[in-house]
Amino acid sequence: MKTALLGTDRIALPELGSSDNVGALLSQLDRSNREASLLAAAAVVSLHRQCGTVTVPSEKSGFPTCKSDDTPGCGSNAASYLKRMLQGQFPHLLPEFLSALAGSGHRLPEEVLPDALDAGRKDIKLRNLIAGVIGKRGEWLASLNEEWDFVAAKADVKDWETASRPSRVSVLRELRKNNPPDAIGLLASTWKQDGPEDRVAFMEELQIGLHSGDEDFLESALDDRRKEVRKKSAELLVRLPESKLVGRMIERTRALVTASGASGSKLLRALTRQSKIQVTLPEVCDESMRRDGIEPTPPKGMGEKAWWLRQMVAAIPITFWNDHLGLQAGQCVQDAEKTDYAKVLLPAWATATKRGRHVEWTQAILEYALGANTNFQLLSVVEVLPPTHRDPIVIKLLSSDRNLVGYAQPGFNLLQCCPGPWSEQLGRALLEFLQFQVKQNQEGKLQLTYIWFPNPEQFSMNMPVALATEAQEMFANVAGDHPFSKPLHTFLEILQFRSKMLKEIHK
Amino acid sequence: MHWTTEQILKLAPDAASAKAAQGLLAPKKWTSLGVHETAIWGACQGSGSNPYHTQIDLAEPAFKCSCPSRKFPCKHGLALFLLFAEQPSLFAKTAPPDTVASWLKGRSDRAAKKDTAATTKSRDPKDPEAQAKTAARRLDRVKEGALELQRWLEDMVRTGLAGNLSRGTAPWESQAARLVDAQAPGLARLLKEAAALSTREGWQEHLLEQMALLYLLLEGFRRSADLPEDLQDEIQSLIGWKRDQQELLQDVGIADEWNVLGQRTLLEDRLQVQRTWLKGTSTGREAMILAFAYGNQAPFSGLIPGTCFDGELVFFPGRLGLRALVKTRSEATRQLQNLPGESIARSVAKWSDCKANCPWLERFPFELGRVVPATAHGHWWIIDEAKAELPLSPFRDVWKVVALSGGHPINLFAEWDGHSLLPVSVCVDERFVELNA
Repeated sequence: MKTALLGTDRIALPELGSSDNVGALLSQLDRSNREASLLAAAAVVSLHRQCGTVTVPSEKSGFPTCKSDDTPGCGSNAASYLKRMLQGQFPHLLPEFLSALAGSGHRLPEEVLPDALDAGRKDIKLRNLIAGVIGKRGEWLASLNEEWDFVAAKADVKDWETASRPSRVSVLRELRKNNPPDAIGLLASTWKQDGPEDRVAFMEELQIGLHSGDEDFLESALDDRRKEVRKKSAELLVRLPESKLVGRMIERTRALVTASGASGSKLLRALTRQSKIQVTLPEVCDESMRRDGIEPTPPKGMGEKAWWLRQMVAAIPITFWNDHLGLQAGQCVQDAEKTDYAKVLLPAWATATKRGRHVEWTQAILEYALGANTNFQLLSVVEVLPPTHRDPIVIKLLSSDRNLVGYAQPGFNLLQCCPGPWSEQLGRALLEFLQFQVKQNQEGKLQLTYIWFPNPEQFSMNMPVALATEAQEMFANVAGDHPFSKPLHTFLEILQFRSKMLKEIHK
Repeated sequence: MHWTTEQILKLAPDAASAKAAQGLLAPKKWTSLGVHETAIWGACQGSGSNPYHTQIDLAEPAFKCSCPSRKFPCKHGLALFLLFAEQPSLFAKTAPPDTVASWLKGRSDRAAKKDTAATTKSRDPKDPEAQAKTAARRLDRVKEGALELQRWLEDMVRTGLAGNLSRGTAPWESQAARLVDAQAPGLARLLKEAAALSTREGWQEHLLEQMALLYLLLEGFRRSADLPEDLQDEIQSLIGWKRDQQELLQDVGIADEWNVLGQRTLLEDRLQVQRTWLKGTSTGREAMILAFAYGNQAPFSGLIPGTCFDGELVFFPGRLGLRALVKTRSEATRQLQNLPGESIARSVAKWSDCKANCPWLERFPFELGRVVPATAHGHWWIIDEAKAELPLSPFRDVWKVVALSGGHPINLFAEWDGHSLLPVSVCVDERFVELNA
C-alpha cells in the first residue's frame, strides 16, 4: 500500500513471498517488472481477502422491539397521496389529510413515517397533527432519533424541571387544558431559571385557557428580557378586556379620539362632510407604550404617529367606542370615514371587532367595506358571522354584478375572506358565478383579464369535495389552451385531488 | 392482478409526465373506453381536433398511443392505465376495435417470429468478409489501447498514487477518453469509477484494489487464449464488446416464474443505468436485467418491483451468468407475497464462490432472511438470527427500514459490493416496499 502511494521509484517493493497459500502465490510473481508485480500482488491480496470473508458473531444488538398497534394503517392508495404531498405536490393540503386520517381512525403506514416525521421537524404547525397519526410504531421510531423529539412521549408533571423542552411543552399543554391556573403556577415555579427559548415556547401554550387569573404572570412577563416573550404577553393581555394593560391603552387613547360637541346642525355636518369624530395623533411613543407592546417602527408607507395610534385603538375592546363617542357602530364607521384618519381607525376597529366577535360592528364595517374599494383588511371581519348568517349575503353578492371581473366583484372578494369549509350552497354559488363568466367570455361578451380568478388554490381548499364531480362536469368543455383556463384548471385539479384523497382515506 | 396508483406512476418517464397524466383522469376526457382480456384502450381528447387513440397490453405492460409525444410511455398511456386502476367500471367489456386487435396480433406474431427465427437462424448475411475485417480492426485497436492502459497504470504506481491524485483526476479522464477512442468503453468506465473513488473516505485501499483488478483484467485479456471460454466471454464484455441482443434472444431461454426483487437506477455520465434483479421461483436462479436511457428520461424495462411474471430469460454468455434479457412474457404479472430469505453466512459464501470465479464481479444480490437493523456512532449494520452482521452503505431510506422492522426481523433484498450492503427493497407482512439509495 505504502509503495503504491509513494511510488516504486521512491520506495523499494517489499518481499512478497511468505509461507502461507497467498504467499506461495505471490512468490511466483515475476519481479522483473516492479509495477506489474505490485498491481498483481494487490489483486491477489484483495481477492483473497474478499473471497475469504467470514462472518464473525456480532456483538451489536438491534433496537428494542415495538409493541403492536391495534389501530389499522391506511391503505396504500391513501398513503400515496401523502407521499405526493411530502414530495411537494399541494403541500398545503397536508393538514387536511392528517386530520381526516385521524378522524377515520387510521394511522400512517410504517414506510412513510420517516418522511412524515421529517415534515413535522421542519414545520412546527404540522407537529401535533403528525404526532396524532403515527401510531405506536411512529412514537417508537421517534424515540430512537433525536431529530424527532417533538413527538416525545408525554412526560409527567413530576419531571417538569428536568424533562426536555418538547416534553415540558406537552406537559404544560395538557395541564393548561384541564387546569389553567395550575399551569401558570407550574410555569412560574421555574420561570426565572428557564432559558429564553424555553420561555418563548411556553408562552405559546398560554393561549388556551386564557383567563383573568393569568394577568399577574403576564404583566410581569412584559419586562422579560426576550422580545418574543414580551410581545406575546402583551398580545395575550389585550385579549383580557379587564386587564390593566387594556386600561392603560384606554387612558392613552381617550383624549386622542373624541366626539366633538354638537357644533352646528346635522344637516350642516352632512353638507360639509364634517365628522363628529376628532382625532389627535400621539406625540411620542414612550417607554411605557413600548412595554405594552406598541411597535415603534411603522410599516412602509405609514407615518409613525398614525401607526402608534392604530395599534392603541386596535388593543381596546370595540364596545368602548359606543360609550366614549356616544355613537352606534354604523355612525362610528361613517364618521370615521370622514376624518383624515379613516385608514387608522377602521383597520384598528376591524381588529378589535374580530377579537370581540361583535356582530353589530361587523355589519357596520362590512357595509362600508363592500361599498368602498376592495379592502381585505376590513372584509375579513366577516369571519365573525356564523355561516347561516353569512352565506346568504355572499350568495346574493355573487349573483348580482356578474359582469364584474376578479377583484372588482364584491361577492368574490368577500368569499375570499370566509373561512372554510364552505357549505354546498356557497360552493355552488361560486361555480355558477364562474360558469357564467366563462360562458360570457366564450360568447365574446366578457373580457377576462389575467386576474380573472385570483388565488384559485385558496378557493379550492375551502370548497366542499361533494361538488368535485359536478365542478369537473361544469367546465369539461373549457379547453386547456384558453388564456384564462389556467387558474380554473388549478382550482379543479386541487378539488379533484382533495376529493379522491378523502375518498381513499375513508375507504 | 390489481395495480396500485404508485406502481403505475413509477412507469412514468419523468415527473412532468406523471403530473400531466393525473390531469387527464377526468372520465369526460375519454371516450370509447374498453377492455378485453389483458388489453385496454380508449380515445383521449387532446388539444387537436382528433382524439388520440391509446392502448395498453396489461400483460407486460406495453403501451401504444397515436399522439406525437416522444416520451414513453406518454401521458395518455399512463392516464389510461391509472383510470383503469381507479375506475375499472368505466371500461366496457367488448371485442377490441380493429386497430387494437391488429396491434395485439402484431405483438403476438412478433413473439412467435422470434421463436421460429431461433430455430431457422436468420442472421442477415451482410458481407461476412467485410464483417470479419471490421472485427479484426477493432480487436487491434483494443489491444493497442489495453497495452497503453497497462503502461499507464504502471506509471501511476511507479510515480506514486498519492502524488498523482493530488494533481486531480483530469489525467484519468483523458486516459478514459483515449480508451473510448480505442473502442474499449468498458475499460473507460472502470477507469472512471476508479478515479471517482479518490474522493471517498479511505480511498487509498479502494483505489489500489480497483486498479489492481483493472490490471488483472488487462493481463487476462493479453493472455485470453490460455483461458477457458466462459472467462473469455466475461473479459470481452467487461472490456466493452457488446453482444448482439437480437441474436442472443434467439437462444433457448430459461422458463420460470420470475420474481422482480428490486430495481436501482444510477447515473453513469449522462447515461441512466437501471438494474433490475430477478429470481426464478422454481429454478432459484438470479438474474440482472439492464435498461438504459439518456438524459432525464427514466429507463423503461416494463419490470415492476414487487411483482412476478411467467416468462423466459436468456442469459448472456460468461462465467457469472447473471445478466439476462427477457425473451418472452406470457402471463399477466402478480404481486409478490414475500422476499426469499437466506442467512448472511450463506449469502457471503455464495458471493465468495462467484468472486473467486470471476474477480471482476461488482455487485451481487443478497436475499437476506429475518434480519434487524442496528446502529452505533452513525454507522449502520444489519444482523441476522445467527448473530452474523454486515455493514450498510450510507443510504437515504435507512430509517424506513427501521420503521418497517419495528425492531422485529424482516426479509431484505440488497446489493453487496464486497465491502458494504446497499438495501434495495424489503417485504413486511406481505407488503413490498422499495427503498431509495
